[in-house]
Amino acid sequence: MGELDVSAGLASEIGRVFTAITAVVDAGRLRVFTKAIGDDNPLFTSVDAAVKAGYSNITIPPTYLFCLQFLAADDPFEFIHVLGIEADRILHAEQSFSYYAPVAVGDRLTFEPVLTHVEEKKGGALTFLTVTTRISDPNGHQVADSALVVAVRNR
Amino acid sequence: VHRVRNVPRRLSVGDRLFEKTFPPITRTTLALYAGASGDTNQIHLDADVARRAGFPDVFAQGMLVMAYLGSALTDAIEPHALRKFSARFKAITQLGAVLTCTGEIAEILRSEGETRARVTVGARDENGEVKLAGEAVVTIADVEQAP
Repeated sequence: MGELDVSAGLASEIGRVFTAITAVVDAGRLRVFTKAIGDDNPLFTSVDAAVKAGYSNITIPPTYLFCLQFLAADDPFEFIHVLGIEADRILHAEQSFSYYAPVAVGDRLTFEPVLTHVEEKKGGALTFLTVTTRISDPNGHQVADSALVVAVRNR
Repeated sequence: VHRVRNVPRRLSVGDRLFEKTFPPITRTTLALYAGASGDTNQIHLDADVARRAGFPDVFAQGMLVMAYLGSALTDAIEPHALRKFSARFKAITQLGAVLTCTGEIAEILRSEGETRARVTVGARDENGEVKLAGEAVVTIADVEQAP
């Protein structure tokens, strides 16, 4: 694919479904995360505190859904590779989450990412891609969704 | 049914919900976050890779900055009170940056049968440069209805 064709090619990929990922929330891995960011909130570290607050187990920080998906994926950058984009040309531009139900240690979640939007900006110098991920429990109930927007620097 | 506790009460537009400053960002911070988050993009870990991509050195993962913001947010509100959390990454966060995360009440609204607060959130460095700007929506209904 020629470099000038990248954006036009990407627009035709809207609706593309990437590999679904299943992850189980693990207390030890979560502790590595809370230590890395220096978060000692007992709701993220203590079963007793979390249960007293009404959770089934230790709950997760608001951005940890993103990590669960990355940690469990065989290729966390699958969408970039599938779309033929070089990794050093992308920057994370925006991230959003909507939360519908609490998530706790031991929960099993399925992540279903889809390319939902492609938009050129700055006269074609940048292409913005949105990958929206539905996050659901084993009964199929949606617990959250996330949207990742990356900016691709076109040359 | 899940019970929500410790959600903010008697909030008014313009109130400062939180302000929290984090330790300076080091190469170790970036390495620990990469391992913890699964984001192993080498541009945040290997200065050679960062230079080849046109950057002077490694820089922080955007999601590390959002994780700090989330941590400041959940110090102030109970995690399950959070309905939405979004951020735009405005500038690269360099090594040594001392980030301060803030949240202010922008609006009190009714939505989906709840009273909610829309909170303007952001992260800036020690020079005041905005690294991340966004908003959070939190429910405040349960507290208001409690005796």
